Amino acid sequence: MRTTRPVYRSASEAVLLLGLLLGAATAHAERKNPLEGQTAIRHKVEMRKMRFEIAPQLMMSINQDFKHFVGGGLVLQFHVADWLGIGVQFAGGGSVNSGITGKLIGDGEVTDPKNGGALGVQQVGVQPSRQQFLDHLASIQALFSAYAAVTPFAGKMALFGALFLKYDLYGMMGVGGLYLANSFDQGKNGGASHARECSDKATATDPNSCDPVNSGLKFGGMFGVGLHLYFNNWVGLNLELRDMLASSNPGGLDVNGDRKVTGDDESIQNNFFFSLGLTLMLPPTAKISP
Amino acid sequence: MRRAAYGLLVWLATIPVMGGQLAMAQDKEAQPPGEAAAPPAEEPAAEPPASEPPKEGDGKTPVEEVQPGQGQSAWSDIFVVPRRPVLKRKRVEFMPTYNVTINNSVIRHHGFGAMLNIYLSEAFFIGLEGTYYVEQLTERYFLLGVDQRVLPSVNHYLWSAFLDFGYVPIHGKFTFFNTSIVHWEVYAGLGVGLFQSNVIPRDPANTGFTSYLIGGNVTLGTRMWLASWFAIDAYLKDYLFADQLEPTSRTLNETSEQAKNRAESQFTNNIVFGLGISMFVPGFDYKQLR
Repeated sequence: MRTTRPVYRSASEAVLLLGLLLGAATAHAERKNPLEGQTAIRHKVEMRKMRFEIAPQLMMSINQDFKHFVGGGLVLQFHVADWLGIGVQFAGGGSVNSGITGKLIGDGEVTDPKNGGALGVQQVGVQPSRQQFLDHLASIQALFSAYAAVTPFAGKMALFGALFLKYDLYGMMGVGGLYLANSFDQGKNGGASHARECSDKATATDPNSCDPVNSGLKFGGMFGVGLHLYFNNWVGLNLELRDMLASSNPGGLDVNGDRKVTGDDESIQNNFFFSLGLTLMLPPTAKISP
Repeated sequence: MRRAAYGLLVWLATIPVMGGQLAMAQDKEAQPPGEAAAPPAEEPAAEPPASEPPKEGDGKTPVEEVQPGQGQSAWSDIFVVPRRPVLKRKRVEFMPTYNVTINNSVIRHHGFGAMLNIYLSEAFFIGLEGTYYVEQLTERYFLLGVDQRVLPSVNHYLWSAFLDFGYVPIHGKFTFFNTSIVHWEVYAGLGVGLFQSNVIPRDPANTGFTSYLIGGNVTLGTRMWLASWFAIDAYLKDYLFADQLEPTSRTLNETSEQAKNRAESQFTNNIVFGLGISMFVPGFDYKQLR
């Protein structure tokens, strides 16, 4: 009988061990994280959901080669959901010379040949005069777009650990256009007969005296990103970066080397604009999520 | 007697299996010390909520159901505050970077480099950065020659090295479509260092010359944490220095040394947009008060 006792004892120990393991495993399996599958933020102030946004903006271009756009505009946007909005935007203004333009024309009067600029017409018939150069430049007078805005990122931040702000980051995609103008005067450049010569590929002409063909509406796509910094539940600061993709010839001269200035000299350009605005969300009261 | 002991142990082992819960040792230790009378038994805790996301107007979360002062002891008044997700003090950041010029129409530099920062506190850091540049002449550089018949003075930056001082004033977090929470921060910095630039001669028959330029930089960047040791960075950096340009009146027979002696100095803002990945070593641990 003594030979059976160790077997019985080891069986008891096995049952004991199995019981402990099973008990631990069962308890572990039933201990679920109560936050599993829950939304990241409860009782979130929905700053955008079913609200209308009005944002007057100051806007400037940041990558124009010859003429920078400076102006103001307005954004109207309706936020269908906290993450989705549809909007329209318009801005109008004038232009200022870029650094390259300043180097080319110099600091003095354009008609003064000794004003220090690089365009001294050393190659007559080939190099544009300062006035011809300026007359061919396209300047942006206005831009507009209609787009959808998606806001995937929304949160809060601490400035110096003291000032707490709600904010969101959004992307925009849509269609839009630029309204371009130039100061070219056909009357001072040979009139209508010269214009016909300019458009005739068989006739040799000086492209510096031909219409730059770079004014008017240029339609294209609009892509952008933006940031809202909210001071309270309905007033905030708005920063945006927009890229208006449109076909144009900013210099207004012969680009493809055929000695003619036509639509063939245009190419797709990225036109970046930065804007700073004041956002007003209406109604002033925001919804609270569950 | 021994059989009875084994039997008792087996029963004890099976209790957790039947009960489905393992009692935690801390439950007893959580009793406030020195309390004279034991509090009356409380109702068992409610079942954790299902993992289904809440609907509009749903009840409160388990955390929200806890009301201060309702418990039988002062321990129930303790609220949980999330810890700072990442500590940086006394850690070293290694950041490989890529940056590109954003404010030059005629030449674009692609910079490949790295930064090494040491965090003196959670906010202040001191670091070294080095960048090697690859130049890319833009279409406008070509068109200025074709259309305006001028060749701009352009320098190619070879490398730069800077000593940087930085500060992290802004911390934030956001949700991605209200699903997960991501932490980020904004840093600003000032630096002092050295550039080496190389003149691209307008006439290929001439040779260029190099110059060492002392400069400064101003940085504004943001970092998004993906792990406690890993983050992705985006930054804007303005390098400021007095560049030495090829003289516009350089003749064919003028040696590079002669041209360098009468180089034209021009204050330059070289603004770059950069991306990087931050890797922090060593790891960190929170200090717990006992």
